[in-house]
Amino acid sequence: MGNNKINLEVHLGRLILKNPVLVASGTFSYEYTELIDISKLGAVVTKAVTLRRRQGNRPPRTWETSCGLLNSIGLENPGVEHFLEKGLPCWRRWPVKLIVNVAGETVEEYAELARILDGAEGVDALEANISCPNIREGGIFFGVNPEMSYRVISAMRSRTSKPLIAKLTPNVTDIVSIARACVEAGAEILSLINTLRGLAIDPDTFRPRLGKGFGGLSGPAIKPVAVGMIHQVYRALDVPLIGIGGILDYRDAVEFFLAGARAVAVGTGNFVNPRIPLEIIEGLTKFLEEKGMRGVEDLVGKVRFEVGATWPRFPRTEGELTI
Amino acid sequence: MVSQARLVSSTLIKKNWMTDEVVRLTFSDPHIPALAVPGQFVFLRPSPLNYPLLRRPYSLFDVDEEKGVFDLLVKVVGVGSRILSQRSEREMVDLIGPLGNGFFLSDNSGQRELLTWSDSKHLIVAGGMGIAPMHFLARRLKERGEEVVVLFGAVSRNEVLCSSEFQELGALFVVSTEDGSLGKMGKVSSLIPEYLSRDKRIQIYACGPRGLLKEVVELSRREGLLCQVSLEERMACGLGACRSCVCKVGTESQFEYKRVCRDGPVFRAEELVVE
Ligand SMILES: Cc1cc2nc3c(=O)[nH]c(=O)nc-3n(C[C@H](O)[C@H](O)[C@H](O)COP(=O)(O)OP(=O)(O)OC[C@H]3O[C@@H](n4cnc5c(N)ncnc54)[C@H](O)[C@@H]3O)c2cc1C
Ligand SMILES: Cc1cc2nc3c(=O)[nH]c(=O)nc-3n(C[C@H](O)[C@H](O)[C@H](O)COP(=O)(O)O)c2cc1C
Ligand code: FES
Repeated sequence: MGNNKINLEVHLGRLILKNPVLVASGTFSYEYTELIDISKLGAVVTKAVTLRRRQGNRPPRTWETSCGLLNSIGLENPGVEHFLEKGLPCWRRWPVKLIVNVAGETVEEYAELARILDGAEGVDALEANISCPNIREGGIFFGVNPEMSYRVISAMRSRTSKPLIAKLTPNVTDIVSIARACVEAGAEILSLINTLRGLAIDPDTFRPRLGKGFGGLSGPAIKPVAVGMIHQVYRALDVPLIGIGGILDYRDAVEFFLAGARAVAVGTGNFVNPRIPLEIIEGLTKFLEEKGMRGVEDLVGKVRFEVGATWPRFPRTEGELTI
Repeated sequence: MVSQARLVSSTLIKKNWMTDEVVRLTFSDPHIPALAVPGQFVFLRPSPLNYPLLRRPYSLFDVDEEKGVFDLLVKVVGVGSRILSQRSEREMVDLIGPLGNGFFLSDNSGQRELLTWSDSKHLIVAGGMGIAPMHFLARRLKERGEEVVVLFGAVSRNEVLCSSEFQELGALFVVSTEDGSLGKMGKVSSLIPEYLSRDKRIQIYACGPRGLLKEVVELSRREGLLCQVSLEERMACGLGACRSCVCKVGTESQFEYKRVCRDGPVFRAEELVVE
């Protein structure tokens, strides 16, 4: 072993990436180019872009929890026009795939964003954030309801020919029903999970730790939830999955591949150490070499359950576990 | 301004407890001392393990370019600072720096440099750990032959820090304590009027609790003084990506959020909405 040539390239439908390691929306920006070579990444996912400028929520906007981070940024961004004029040209200087994350308050806004970005050169795919817990309108309101998810994704689908990713929220009873609705509406790739809704309170002042009150939990604390949901969706549907949630090293990434993800994205990990995505690429290469495998494909969905292992049953999910 | 921040592993070479709760840490590093300007900070991992998860911001207390060392003043207030204060000499600490915009003379080219005029008097106003970025600043001002007065406020005498360090620089160091156990009793802001001379241009540099900053900002607006303040806000990325660390710039009715980590931590008083 060790002599086989590792090929990290992955095919997510029409979206072909040189390796399966991405950086997640909202946790990475152009400033990172000062510290790491971003051209080594599988892809960069931008912070959510909205139709108009958003000021974001009142601070404090983050609070560290046990092995996690609670945030309520509120999709602060300068709007899609500014992104096209200022943001995109910067990213285009780098030979790296760019996925633009979009969020809207209405179905029409998502559709309009898809239309505007459809013509943008240098945008390799769109990711519909139908799962943000931190804005009052839209966002999660779509992502918790299969019909609304269907409407958002099909409205975008009819306005863009670019690869379309639906980003799912874990704040639902049945992730598979949402995933299925998105695929039926034309999403070619699913990414999951976004943050888990949560609240932290200061025992001294009786006030929430975040200016806005509730927030979204990310980081290592949510990893098992994410791995579990990836596996549920992997079992139910034949669609490429991007696994997100608490990934800090290549072993975390391998867990996601074994559960059924074909790519992974690092979010909060970028804050812990900006080098984590690159370290994962290196670690993964070594790991595959040692296992005598040729690529990530050899790991996808290969988790081995014991006979009689329990399996969550939800309405509309095939519950049988076959080994 | 193009950031010159680097991702480095610096060796902790010296620990010196200044009070029961505050430790001065000296690190050796080939880059940071040469790149840094007063008011900048580093963003470090208290532990090489992933607990606590996020990095912590610390102002550069001072740097020594020749020796290739820099110092931080760390107050133990929670889990991260406790772990950091327990690290041993010769251990490596992961850090990113120097970060942020230091104290400045802002012009349209985005260049920032120290405000120095021979007819100026520089008033440094620090509350508690707000003293941390001020030694580097005071040293640079004194090197240019400027008149520097440091007004330092603490709750009690056992929290008074660095008086000899500032005196060695040739700065006047004036203390007030809330309980009157050292210096004048009361808030440090009440010391300011005494040092406002008519014949010199007053420049104020403030860092400390929000209440103090609010008073200093209001006073300098009222008196028409040049004033810069260094802010603290919760950070997640420290680089400008996450928009966690924002403060209000503009007016109460029309403001925009700016990032303390990237657009600050030093801001000009006239642009800030201090809450
Ligand atoms: C630009 C800047 C420079 C600073 N310079 C110094 C310095 O030179 N010396 C010093 O002792 N302290 C300094 N601080 C404050 C220092 O960062 C906090 O005391 C430290 O992060 C506390 O971490 P902890 O885990 O011990 O406390 P915890 O309360 O357990 O921390 C919980 C979370 O809150 C954040 N947090 C807590 N207090 C603050 C604060 N005052 N400002 C921002 N975030 C905070 C922590 O980073 C962490 O994410 C600075 C803060 C900023 C923003
Ligand atoms: C500060 C912050 C901002 C985020 N902003 C966005 C966003 O704009 N759009 C989005 O789809 N997800 C956003 N997310 C969610 C992340 O992309 C990711 O799905 C989530 O944090 C879980 O991954 P992690 O545990 O690796 O961070 C954000 C997360 C954080 C922590
Ligand atoms: S801490 Fe992330 S933008 Fe300042």
